[in-house]
Amino acid sequence: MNELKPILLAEDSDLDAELTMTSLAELQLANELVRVSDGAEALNFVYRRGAYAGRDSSDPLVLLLDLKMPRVDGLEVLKQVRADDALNSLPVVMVTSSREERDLVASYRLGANAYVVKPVDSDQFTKTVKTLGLFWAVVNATPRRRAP
Amino acid sequence: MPEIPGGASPRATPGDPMRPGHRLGFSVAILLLLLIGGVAFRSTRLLIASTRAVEHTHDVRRQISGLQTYLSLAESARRGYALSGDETLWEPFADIETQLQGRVVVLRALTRDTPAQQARLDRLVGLLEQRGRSLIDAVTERRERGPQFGQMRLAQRALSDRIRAELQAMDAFETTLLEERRDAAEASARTTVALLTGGGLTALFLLGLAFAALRREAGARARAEAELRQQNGLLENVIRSSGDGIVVTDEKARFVLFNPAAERIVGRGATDAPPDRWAETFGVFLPDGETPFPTERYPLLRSLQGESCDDVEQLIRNPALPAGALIRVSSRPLREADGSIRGALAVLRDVTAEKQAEHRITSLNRELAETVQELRSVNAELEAFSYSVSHDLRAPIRHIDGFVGLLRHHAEGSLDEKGRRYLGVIGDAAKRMGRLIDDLLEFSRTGRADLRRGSVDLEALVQEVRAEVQQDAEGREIAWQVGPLPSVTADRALLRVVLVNLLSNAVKYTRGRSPARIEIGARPGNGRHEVYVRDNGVGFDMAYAHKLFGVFQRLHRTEEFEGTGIGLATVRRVLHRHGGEVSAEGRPDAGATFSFWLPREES
Repeated sequence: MNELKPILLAEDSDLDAELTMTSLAELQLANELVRVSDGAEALNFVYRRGAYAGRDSSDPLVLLLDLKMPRVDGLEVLKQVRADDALNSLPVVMVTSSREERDLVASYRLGANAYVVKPVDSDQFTKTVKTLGLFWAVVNATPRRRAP
Repeated sequence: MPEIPGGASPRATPGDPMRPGHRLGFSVAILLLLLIGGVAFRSTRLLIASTRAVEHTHDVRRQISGLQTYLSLAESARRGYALSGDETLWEPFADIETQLQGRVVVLRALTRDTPAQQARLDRLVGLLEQRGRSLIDAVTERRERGPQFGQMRLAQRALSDRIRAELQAMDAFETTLLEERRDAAEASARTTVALLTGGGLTALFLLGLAFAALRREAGARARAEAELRQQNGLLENVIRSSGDGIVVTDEKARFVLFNPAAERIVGRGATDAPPDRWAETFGVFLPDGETPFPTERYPLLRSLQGESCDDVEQLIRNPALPAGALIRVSSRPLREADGSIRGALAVLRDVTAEKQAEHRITSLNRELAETVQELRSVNAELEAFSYSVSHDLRAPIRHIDGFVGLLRHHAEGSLDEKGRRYLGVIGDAAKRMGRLIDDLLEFSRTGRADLRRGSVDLEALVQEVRAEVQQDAEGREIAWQVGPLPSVTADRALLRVVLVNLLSNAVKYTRGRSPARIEIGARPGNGRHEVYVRDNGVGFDMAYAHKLFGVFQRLHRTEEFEGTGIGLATVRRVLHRHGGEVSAEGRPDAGATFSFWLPREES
């Protein structure tokens, strides 16, 4: 049984972020939805530093990462999270426009749990996001954080 | 080498043109002739001897007869004298004793070789002396005592008889001897004649054989010579007619053959000039056209040292070839049977045109490669462009679409019919743009992505795609017929794209049919897999079949059937990348069949 972990969305496009958040909101999940604009902020959130120093919420339920973000991109975040013993098992889903084979390969090789291509059709987009949210928040089980 | 025709006898050796058989034959013939000659010679000698012996016998008999006559004449003379007392009658016989002695001597000489006769002669001598003396005594008696005296006594008559007997015996002996000798002579003659005839015939026979043999040899030689002449004629013809230059030198690098083609190719005929002057005489340069050809590198000279040279290039420029001609020379040494080098042979070919063609080909190839390279990079740029454009257009389109939806929700109540319709139009347009972009992206991807070939179970894939495509046909009655389909070697993801396009097309264009029939099956094909998708939808006019697979080409208006016009272009691209092909058949309002084939992979 999950504690209520936040769902972290790292997305640089405000409009895409709005659409995503709106769709997720329709699910009426109890989990907190947090949006950051780039990879650096995502890491700050995860490590509870910077602007998110001292946050008291648990580790994220799932990281929804866009690939192409300024400063620190999705793959970099993925790499760091996977390198960290404590955060190793954090579910990470790449949510991106890129269908490129090499991005797919790189993401999986670095240990992404899933790779979802953003549909251009908004209905599809909404459906996809909802499916994602439902799966990770309700269906999937994740381990507790290991004691440091 | 022409075979010299002949019998089965051993061949002549090169040093000795006569065959052993002939040699033997001639030796035997000569021996025979010598033999016959010898025998004939001996025979003739015998004949001569015999003849001489016969003559001899005649002589003896003559002498004997002569003696007998003499004795008779002497007796007659005595008697005559006794009667007449005429001295002249007795005068010729006065020396009768001497005469008789002389005749005996002659006889003795003549019968030297017959002891029997000698014995008789011995007896005769005594008798003849007696007779001679008795005759002389008789004569003397008459002379001195008168006509009543000088008669022959009876004893004398007996003596005469005895003498006569002896002489007759001698004569008979000689006669017998004569006969014997004559027989011998005749026999000898016959033998000689026979031998001579036989010898002559043998000689003729051998001559005949020799003649026949010689004739045969001559015939054989004539045939061989004719063949040789023919061969030579042929060879000469070949050399004269050859389109390649043929040049031969002797071991001292003097030209002995320079065929018409060589003259044509080099622009002049042979020269007496020594090799170190060939460059200036013929105008020979290295292919660069400037450096005179180094003497030691002439293929002919190298071959005189035993080297085989191939495809040495020389440039010839002289008054007859002012523009210069590139020739290719190959040469070989010419050897005697014992391996020593007796000359060199070179074959020349004018390759000026060839070289030019080669150069053209090379430069054309280079151009081609450059063009291909350009095309490749242009293609790559286009692909990159279309990819990035499509990619970057997706977000804004998604936003339009998304926010139109949000607006609809938000302004649910406050929008009137028109407002809702306008929003709908905007939303649909955005959606359509989105589909177009996605299709373009897919089309671009199928061209760029690396092919990942694997074994693909077509039946399973078809079922998978059918399930997906079925979703767009909720509520419709579709009769699917999926035949047995083979496993093929292909990129699964790309093949999926093909099937999605073809099946969704089939579903789309059978809208209005109840039931819609969609059949997917395989056809046997040698060396390839053939698959078809047949539907009973609206079909198309074959007149426009060539447009089907073009990019953005459609045969129906968007209002009739939505679509981007890229799907089939994508299908064709995927098939082409696999080395296969897609084609379509249809009739208006009578359905369509889309067929594609993939090459069968050799495992």
